[in-house]
Amino acid sequence: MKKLLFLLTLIYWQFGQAQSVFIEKSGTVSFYSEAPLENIEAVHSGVNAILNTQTNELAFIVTIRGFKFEKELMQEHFNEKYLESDKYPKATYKCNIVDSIKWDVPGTYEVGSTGTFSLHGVDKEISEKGTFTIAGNKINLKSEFKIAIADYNISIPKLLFQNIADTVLVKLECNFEPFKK
Amino acid sequence: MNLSISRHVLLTVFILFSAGSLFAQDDLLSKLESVSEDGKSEYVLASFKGDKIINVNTTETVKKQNLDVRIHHLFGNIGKESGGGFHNLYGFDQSQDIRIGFHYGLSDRLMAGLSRSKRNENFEGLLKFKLLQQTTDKKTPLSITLFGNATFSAKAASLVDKDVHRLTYNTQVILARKFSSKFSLVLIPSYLHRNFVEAEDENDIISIGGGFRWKFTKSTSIIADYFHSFRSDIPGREFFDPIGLGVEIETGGHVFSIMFTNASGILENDYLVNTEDDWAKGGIKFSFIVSRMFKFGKS
Repeated sequence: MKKLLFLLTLIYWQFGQAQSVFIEKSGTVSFYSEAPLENIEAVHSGVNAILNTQTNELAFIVTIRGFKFEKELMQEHFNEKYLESDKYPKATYKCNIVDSIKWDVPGTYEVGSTGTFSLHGVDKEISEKGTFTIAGNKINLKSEFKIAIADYNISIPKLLFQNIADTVLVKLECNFEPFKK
Repeated sequence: MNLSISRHVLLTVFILFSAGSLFAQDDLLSKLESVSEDGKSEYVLASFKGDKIINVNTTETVKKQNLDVRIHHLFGNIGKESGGGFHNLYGFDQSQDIRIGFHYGLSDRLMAGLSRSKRNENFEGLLKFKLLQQTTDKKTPLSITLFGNATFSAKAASLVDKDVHRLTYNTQVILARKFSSKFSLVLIPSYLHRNFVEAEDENDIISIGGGFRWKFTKSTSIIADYFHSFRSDIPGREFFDPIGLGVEIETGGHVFSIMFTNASGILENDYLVNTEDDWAKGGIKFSFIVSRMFKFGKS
């Protein structure tokens, strides 16, 4: 009987482990840049993200090719010339959530994160804020932050092309669900 | 139940479960990597920067609901021996050929076009279809685009016996591969049919063409192309293979090409069979294209 109890505890513990991992495969991220000639906007609706509520770790993968622009030519230039998506196909952010969250208590939590943001072959330590909304098994995350393109070695020939501003505003939304193997 | 056996069972179960939890403690990013499916196979972008390299077609088509308005100008021969020289500013005063074309993307893979060229007063209707697109993984190693056109010469009735004699047709299979972000190559078998030809000339001409784009800085490329038609000279006319050489400069919004060629005209239906100028004798013409993309509707 003791053994059985031990076994059950093990199984329960294992279950608990599995429930601590949440995943999102179709999150959205968009960026917006205001510029003298033309405002630029692109949307990505296939953001991959993973959340470990036990370790408070969070990671994102965004494929550069997934950004959709209104103008195809702009999309081509974005991929070919600026982000060089054939060389650097993905942007990633791996971070730790610095504020504590009671993952089993529904509510809204505004938290900070610190981690490594990798874009265009450049790794940079950043801290950004985000808002988690927990409702049972569903966890929503929203965040807004700015990226200075010069930080990531993205060069834009200013004299010839004034289409892109120095900083872009990025908006992110993910809806996490329990990860099933 | 034997005690030692049950211990073994427990231990095995424990190890198995621990292995499971090890997976959970693995690097979160690599775990996410293993479950995400996208970004593994994408179409290669921008093997070439436009419809043509210089003379030859590329695999590129205009995207859906985009209209490319193209004004292509081919000046006169530069060399004195071939009719150029200082007196006409090395061909600048002459216009060997001018083509105004409208290319529209019916879908991202199918393009239709209409054009008018000065040489032979040709109207042209064309279709270009992306049959196969090279991918970033090894799944599809090359792009194949089919090209077909028909030209109708509006020449004066006194110069033409029958209206069907005004027509020519060109069919091409365009094979291209982008070997790296810097280098793209194209190879083109071509079949040209002309309803009417001079005595001793052939109605059906098979040709093979090729070209490349070599991007040697972030925004500057060397472009070159070549065509060879399998045919012989006819009395009074000596033919040369059209060769094009140029520099392509990208400025973000626009692509400028400075091009030189000995081709007789802009349309394949013309230069594949009428190129009589020799690079060696200065039979080279300056050429440029102004292309403006218009977008209709929202994607």
